[in-house]
Amino acid sequence: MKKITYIILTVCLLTGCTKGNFDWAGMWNGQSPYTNVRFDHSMEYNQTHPFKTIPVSQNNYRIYVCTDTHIDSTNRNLTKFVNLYHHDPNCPIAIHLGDMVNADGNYPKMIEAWYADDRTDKSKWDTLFPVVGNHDIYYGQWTEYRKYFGTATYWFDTQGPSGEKLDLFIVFDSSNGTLQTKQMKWLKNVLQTKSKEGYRHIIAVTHTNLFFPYSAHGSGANAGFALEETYEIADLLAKNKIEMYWCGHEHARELYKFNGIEFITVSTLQDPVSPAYYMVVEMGENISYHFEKI
Amino acid sequence: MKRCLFLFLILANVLNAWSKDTLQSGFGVQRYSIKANVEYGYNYTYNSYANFSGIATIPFSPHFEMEGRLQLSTANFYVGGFVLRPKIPFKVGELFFETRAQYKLLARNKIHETCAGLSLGYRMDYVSAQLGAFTRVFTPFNHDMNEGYGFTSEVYNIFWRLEVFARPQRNKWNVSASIANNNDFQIERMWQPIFNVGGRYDIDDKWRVHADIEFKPTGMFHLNASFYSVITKVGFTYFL
Repeated sequence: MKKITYIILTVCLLTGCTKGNFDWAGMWNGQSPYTNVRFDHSMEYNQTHPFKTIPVSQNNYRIYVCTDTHIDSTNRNLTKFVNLYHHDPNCPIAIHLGDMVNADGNYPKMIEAWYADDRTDKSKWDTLFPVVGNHDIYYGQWTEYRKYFGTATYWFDTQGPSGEKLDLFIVFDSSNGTLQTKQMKWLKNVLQTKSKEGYRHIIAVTHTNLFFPYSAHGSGANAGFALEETYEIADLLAKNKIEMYWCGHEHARELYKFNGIEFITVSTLQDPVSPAYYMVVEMGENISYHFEKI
Repeated sequence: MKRCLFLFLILANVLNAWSKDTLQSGFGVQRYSIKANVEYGYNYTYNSYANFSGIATIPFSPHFEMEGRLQLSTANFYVGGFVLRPKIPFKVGELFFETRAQYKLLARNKIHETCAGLSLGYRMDYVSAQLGAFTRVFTPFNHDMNEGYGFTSEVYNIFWRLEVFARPQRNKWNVSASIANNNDFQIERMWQPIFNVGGRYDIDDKWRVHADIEFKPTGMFHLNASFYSVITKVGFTYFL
């Protein structure tokens, strides 16, 4: 009997019967569709929902960026973040860098915070941009992500008061540690085309870190891209003069440069981590940023 | 440094004298050898590609050997490396200490990658385990010294390997399965395992043939796991 109990417990642990932070079965084979299939879904959505151009009232504006809220039973920090961005008149855009939810069944709680607004003006509801993270698709939750956001691979840009192109943000899905073949091709095409269109700044936005320079987390604590893909993406971004790479995943702040690209890993905004931070980026002729405690 | 090496060799000799019958167990005895491989691989990044590689093993004594490694790839990357391996045979198995350095020239991506690491391992007839640490530095070809941040490094990485064998090491043939974050020409991050199944057959005293199949997933541990690459490898070893 004892033996049977142990076997059942082990099987439960390995197959994800125990709902927790980690999708144990997904650790061996992701339960959501692979990246190529998710990319197809994203493109299907993009065909009917064109990429957004956000008009800004002045060339210098602000972006709020948060990540890894891992919404579970509470959504305090994300609610605060959403309200802060909504109330800042010079902030037309916010970005969530992924791992919005923690585990299975947390999407409703996260969506409640995503649309939290104590104002009557709902104009900013669709300018909080999502990035898909590994937790967002654990337990086969790609269907949930898709239901709420439709796409995980897209771009959006900003337009100045006199109609000029300002800044481009390219968002891609890295929650499997590979862009796989179709998304890589898409990224190459978008970068090659868009880098010639005269944008002021081009920023790559995703969930997973490309490098792990910080010993405390880096190479030890988290998984990233396969090395072949690390080299390929780093070269692709550098070749196309991408200025910045924003990501999350590590839960700790990391700032470094490689080959002319500034890499920023934003630290977690998860409840009840204290202190939890989000990033405020000042977009202008030059980009500057700082981190605010929530 | 010389003094340390000298002390190590004395210690190794003492231990070996204490357990000298181990030399018949298959450990501690090595011959000069040259190994050549041809590989065919597929991954999401390079698609199909082939590698050609060679490994020369130079045993300076039963307690110290050196390996030189070279790999050329049709995916336009090139790898060179060496391993220094002091070792102490025991009654059951062999303790070894590896100093490994590897340089990878990624011409396709205009990046240099340099790794150096130290590890300790124990090899027995049916099981071999190895654990250590390494450092990695990525440098772009056009590193701007004025920028100050031109390169990036991953300072502390864990290097690990676990391999099981079906037959004793001295057997004419053997098959093995391993899980590790490295192989002869690749040192992945700690959480990126590489699975390998391989076999070898000794045709005679001079010639050995071998074949391996290697599978690398991506996103295992802390991401979503999926297939990433597969490599098949065949080759031979010539013992001098």
